[in-house]
Amino acid sequence: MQSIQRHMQSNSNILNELKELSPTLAGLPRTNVFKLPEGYFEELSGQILLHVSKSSSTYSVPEGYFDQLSGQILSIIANGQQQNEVREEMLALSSTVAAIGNANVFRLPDNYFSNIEQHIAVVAETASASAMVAAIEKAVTYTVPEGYFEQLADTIMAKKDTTRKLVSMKSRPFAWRYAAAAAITAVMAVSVWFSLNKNVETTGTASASVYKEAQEILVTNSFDQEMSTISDAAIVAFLEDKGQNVEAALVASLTDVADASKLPNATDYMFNENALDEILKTLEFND
Amino acid sequence: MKQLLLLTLLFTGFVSQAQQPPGMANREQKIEALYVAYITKELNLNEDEAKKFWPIHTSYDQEVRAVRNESNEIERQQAVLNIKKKYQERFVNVLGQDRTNNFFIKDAEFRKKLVDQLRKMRQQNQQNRQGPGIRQGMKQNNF
Repeated sequence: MQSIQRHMQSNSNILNELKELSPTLAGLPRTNVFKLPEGYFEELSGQILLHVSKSSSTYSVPEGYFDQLSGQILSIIANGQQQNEVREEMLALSSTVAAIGNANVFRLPDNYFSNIEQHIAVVAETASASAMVAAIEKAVTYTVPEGYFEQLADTIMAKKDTTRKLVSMKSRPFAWRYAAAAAITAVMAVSVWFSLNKNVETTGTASASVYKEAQEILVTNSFDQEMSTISDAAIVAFLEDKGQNVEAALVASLTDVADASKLPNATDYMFNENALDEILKTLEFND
Repeated sequence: MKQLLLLTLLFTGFVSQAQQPPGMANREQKIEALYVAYITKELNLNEDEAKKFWPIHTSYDQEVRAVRNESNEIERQQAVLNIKKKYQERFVNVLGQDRTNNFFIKDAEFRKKLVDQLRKMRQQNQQNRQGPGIRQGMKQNNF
């Protein structure tokens, strides 16, 4: 009994709170608004099944729907049903562009390309930039005189430089090549023959000019004088030609030196073991 | 045109042939002339003898030159000696035995003269190059 009283008391507390928050809600009669019709759940499954059986034909496509679809879309576009929406959107964005509407703005005037020069702004620009170029305008400046190429060869021939010789590249008779080859071979052979011949002449003592020169030396009695003019290299070449070892001959010639004072004395060898080496070094035959 | 080219080629060949060795040929020719003069004078060759002697000498000389590159010195000397023996008879026919002997002696003498000449020139060169200093040094060694 006490718990019921306490329960009643808390109920009235909630009611009072509700009255403070919203008097309208508190004033609502205590009736069950969520009432179901009688026997609702008993009939529910039957109702659902009835809907399911109906829905099987719900998603059917009208006959020939897809065959006509593209045509229908195109006709819709053509009718401008959706263009209206686009046009409104365009109007909101830019009234200028919207004002153009469906008109084809990229149309060219008639005979535009045949008269294109007149339409190019550059023409006007050139006129202002260069009077000379503008004056040329459409004139074909690179014209070739009539029959130019037909007469070209003749014109060139007429104008050619007659002061210089024309070298023709036409092929020569076959024999010419052999003749040329033979001539070159002959030149080479003659050169080689001469060089060999010359060698024999210069190395032998039989040359006529040698005898002539020898005769002159004898007549003028200039042997010693001529002897003193010959060069080191010439002597070496001559002696080596005869198979003489020039260095050995030079050393041997020392023993015949009249100026014996240049050679070390016998006592020198006793005091200086390098005495002979030194004299040889000073003579320096290895020049 | 072609003929001109050929002529030019020929000419160039001759000129180069003529110009290439003159320096060397001239120098050697001078010694050859000195040799001929020396032998002619020392052997007292008359014109008739010279006409016979020098052709034989030329082929003798060529044979001696031919063996100069023999690497074995003894073999080379042997070869030269053989050539001398071979030609001795021909020389004797022109000069007689005594003058043929004399020819070989004078031939060696001429070469010795050249060697002496060469030695003198080189000593002269040496002194010119080094001045008197080295000779003083030598005197010290000589006491």
